[in-house]
Amino acid sequence: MKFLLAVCVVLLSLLPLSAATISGFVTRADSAEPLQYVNVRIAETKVGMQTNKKGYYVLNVQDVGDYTLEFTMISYQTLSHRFSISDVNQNVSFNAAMDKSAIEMSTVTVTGKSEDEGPSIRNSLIRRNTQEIQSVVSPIEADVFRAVLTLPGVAPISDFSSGLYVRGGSPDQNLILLDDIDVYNPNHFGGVFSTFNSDAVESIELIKGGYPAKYGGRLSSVLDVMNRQGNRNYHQGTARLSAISSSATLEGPISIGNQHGSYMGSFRRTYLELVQKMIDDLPDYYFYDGHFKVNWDASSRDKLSASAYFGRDKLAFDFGATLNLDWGNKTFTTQWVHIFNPKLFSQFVFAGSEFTSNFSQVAESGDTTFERINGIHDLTCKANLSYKPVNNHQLDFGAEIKGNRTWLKANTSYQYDPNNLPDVNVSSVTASAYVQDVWDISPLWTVQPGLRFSLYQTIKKNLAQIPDATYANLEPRISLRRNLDVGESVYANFGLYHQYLTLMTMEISTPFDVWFPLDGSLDPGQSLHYTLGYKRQLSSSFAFDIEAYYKTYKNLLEYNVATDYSWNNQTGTLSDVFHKGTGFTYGTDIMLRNDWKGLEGFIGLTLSKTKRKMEDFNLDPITQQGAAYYPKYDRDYSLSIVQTFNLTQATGRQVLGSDFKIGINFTYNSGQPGTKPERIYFDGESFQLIYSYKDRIRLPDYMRLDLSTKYEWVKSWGSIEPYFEVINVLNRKNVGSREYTLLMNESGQLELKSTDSAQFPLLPFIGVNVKW
Amino acid sequence: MVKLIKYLFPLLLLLSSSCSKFTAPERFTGDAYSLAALLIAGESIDVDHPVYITRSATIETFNPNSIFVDDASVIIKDITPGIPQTQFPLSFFMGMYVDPAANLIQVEHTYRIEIVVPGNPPVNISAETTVPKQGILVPDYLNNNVQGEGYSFTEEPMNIIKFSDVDRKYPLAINTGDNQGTFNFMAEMYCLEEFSTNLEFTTPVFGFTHADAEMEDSYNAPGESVRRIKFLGSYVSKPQDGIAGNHLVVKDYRQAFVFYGKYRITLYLADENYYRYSYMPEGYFHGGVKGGLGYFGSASGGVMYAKIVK
Repeated sequence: MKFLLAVCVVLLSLLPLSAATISGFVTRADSAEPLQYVNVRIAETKVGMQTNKKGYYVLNVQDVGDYTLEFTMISYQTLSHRFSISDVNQNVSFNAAMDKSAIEMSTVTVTGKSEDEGPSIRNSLIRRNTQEIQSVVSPIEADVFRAVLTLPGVAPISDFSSGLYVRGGSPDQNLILLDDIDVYNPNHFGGVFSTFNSDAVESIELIKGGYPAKYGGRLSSVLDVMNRQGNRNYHQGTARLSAISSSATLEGPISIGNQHGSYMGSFRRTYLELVQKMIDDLPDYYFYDGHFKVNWDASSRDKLSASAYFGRDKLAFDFGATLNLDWGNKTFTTQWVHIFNPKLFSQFVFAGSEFTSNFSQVAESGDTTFERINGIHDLTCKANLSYKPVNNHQLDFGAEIKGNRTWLKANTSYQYDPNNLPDVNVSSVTASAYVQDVWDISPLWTVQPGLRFSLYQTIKKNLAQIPDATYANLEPRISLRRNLDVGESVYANFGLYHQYLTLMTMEISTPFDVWFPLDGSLDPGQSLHYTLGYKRQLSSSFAFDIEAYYKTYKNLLEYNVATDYSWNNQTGTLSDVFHKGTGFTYGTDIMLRNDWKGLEGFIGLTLSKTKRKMEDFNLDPITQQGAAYYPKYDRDYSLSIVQTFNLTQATGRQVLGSDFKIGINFTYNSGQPGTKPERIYFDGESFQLIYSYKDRIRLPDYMRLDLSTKYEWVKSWGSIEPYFEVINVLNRKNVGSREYTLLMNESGQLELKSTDSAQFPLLPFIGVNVKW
Repeated sequence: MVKLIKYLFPLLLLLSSSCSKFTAPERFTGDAYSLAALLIAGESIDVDHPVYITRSATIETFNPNSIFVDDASVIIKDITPGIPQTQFPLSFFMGMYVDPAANLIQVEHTYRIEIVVPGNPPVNISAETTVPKQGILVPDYLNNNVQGEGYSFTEEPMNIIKFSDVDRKYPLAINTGDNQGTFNFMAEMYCLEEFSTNLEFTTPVFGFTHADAEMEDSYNAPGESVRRIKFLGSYVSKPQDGIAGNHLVVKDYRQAFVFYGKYRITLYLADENYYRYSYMPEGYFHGGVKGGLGYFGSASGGVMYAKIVK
């Protein structure tokens, strides 16, 4: 910590501090919500930056004179503002409100620049706003994770799971943030719905690797989700009605004293139980979730916000005994954004998160025969500061302290050995600090060195034999960019990452996965990321980027499913329930983005390889050592085409008197690795199969085409948007997994039969969205 | 230079990844030998509890008649510490190896099996097991004493149990005598009925009251299935109120009877080899066999029968 402070002081002392500034916030004109990543530039000096996540910008001006400030962003009208500097110590403030570009009815020519243009190097970053998320065709309703799963570099493992496998990383290696706080198990039942209601989400940022020093604690990627602030100009609402769920979102301005703010609330609930009343013996299931956010500008320099999320799934299933399952997340975030002076922007966060899951089995007598409770608490304080003393330096620094507590406890009325029923309660604290400088060495070269320090310690545990853990790590990060032309650049990135939490999970993510802080029996996971990329704005309507990456992993942990979430309470440590190992991933992600004559979307292609080697897993029969293998989520290639065609916008034509959009998702993935029988033996009762390595075969390639049509009737009071979607239009029988069985056929011969687990069949959905 | 980067760079990045399908090589080369032997306390290694040695090449060349190794030398040694070591050979008989001398397997004794399969070079397979403490099945633990009802030790005649009475009147129970503590407990409910669409679920599943024709393959599949429900775990045998000795008792288990009909119920206290073989993924790697696959385990306990009726 002292070291980092010293670095900050030295860096600051090297920088000239005398310059005039122009600063302010950029908002949407229609809702007055902050607008992120707007390109802001002083036309005369060519210096520029992008607004941060809160919509804030600051630019330094060295000389007195008259200047023009330009705001540009894709899909928004360019805005210019004239201002004068009469004193080199003058601080000018200007808040800009930007209008959406052009009129929806006419053909749009995008005049914005590359969305990633700006001083900071954001490699491997894909950003999506609400509209983009909702334009992706998804089963039942628009979904954040389903939208993310279409992006290059992100592999789905099954239609029934929205677990994110990012560039060869498993879902537990993703840092998933909702308003700056971790969300630990962001899925509803079956993975069709993710935790986040797209109506409540302002934007998502997926950083697929090589993420900056601000982030830490995970090995693979960051998914940063921000709740919407709500309309600051007027009250409005959105209601959605689909086959099995409904949601409502309300938002509007608030005022306290002379200061203004906004609120946003969104609630969603499924009503499968109504279907269940009509069709007996379906499991009794529903979920609900809600997002809420309140913002208030205490002054022009102070912005306060509080947000919360809650969600719960409940499932009951009678199979002679009754299984009751429920799980859910809760989060809260309080934020104070304070501008110490125009050059020093700060954000202070106090936030918490909780995930709990409960499982019980109740006998007909009413006695509970088995129950398991599990959960993780997270309480986090963090400060993020950004200092821009001169235009060619932006110093970001901050600190975070995070407390985690995990518990897992099982009880049963059976005469089960109590020592083998887990009863674990472990607390840990992780303190970290970071510093990063974005340094424009020249108009052509930018370097972004960063350093993160983290200290992890277990602080409380209920079992004496669990060894304490104390780990400290320095994580250097560096990015380098060379601008080749306007909107064209190459860049390279390197970063070191550590992870102190691990997840007990079966091969596919479930709500009953168990997070655990590492104890002293396990070393933290470690990953090195190398990235090399090229970006080019091909024209005002097309952008292209290609990125090659290589990641190595050490101290990887793979849950040993044979332990069945239990270990000996008297002698066991966390290492008893994990396979340890190493791995690597390399590949290339290619993305072509378009916003051309009403056709908006992207084509993504990924070529990649992922390999892991774990102790005591995928055993070599000769050496009895684990053999390296391609895990299930390894994809040689993956092609996705996500496009929305706005017919009305492109041609001015309407269908049935309404604006008309067509959406298409096309996915083609190489088949996942799988096992196959190689030998047969007799187990004393029947012939049984001996299986190959986990990656002996590749299942058939996966292909799916989804289509949607959406109508929008605009009325004086709002709009009505009925939609019709078809998932898997071609009704392709995609294979999720393959099981083999030895059976006696009619002629008395043994026959090897294989059975494929199904993915989504052809599924039509209808729904309606109403906005007012 | 910049032009060179512009055009070559994306190409180089693309070439850095390969499109070819990567898969692992064959896991096994040549023949794979497997051992299947569960020694039962108080029984001999006979046709009911034999030792099987199998040899398997590829799936494609599989022949059920040639899979059983018939020319191996098989010796069982009693290597229990503190007593003189004894040994007895096993003889091949109709696809299996049995003990012609009918030596009884003793609880808490440690046995070692040594197998030599002739060849060039010969294949040596060995394994050891320690037989668990004695466990005696208790068919009517609550002493209901209802004629023709409850579990029976014979298949004919077979007692009946009403499904609704399973949990309430007939818990599974093993008497471990003076021994209390933790045991590897394994239970298997095996439906003796042949598959038919007349098979009726004890608890309707998603509205289905009877087996569907499409279930036939999965019903007849080897290993665990709707026909063969297993549960196993580390259970404790302890003194029970008003009953002499120590008992391992399992109540609330009726969901293991998926269909109405005749059942064979196997209850074992198992050694580590058989326990690990049974519960671990790819258990044939974890059954304690050196030089081959499969298991060399031991257990005490036995088998009961009952017909589950409405």
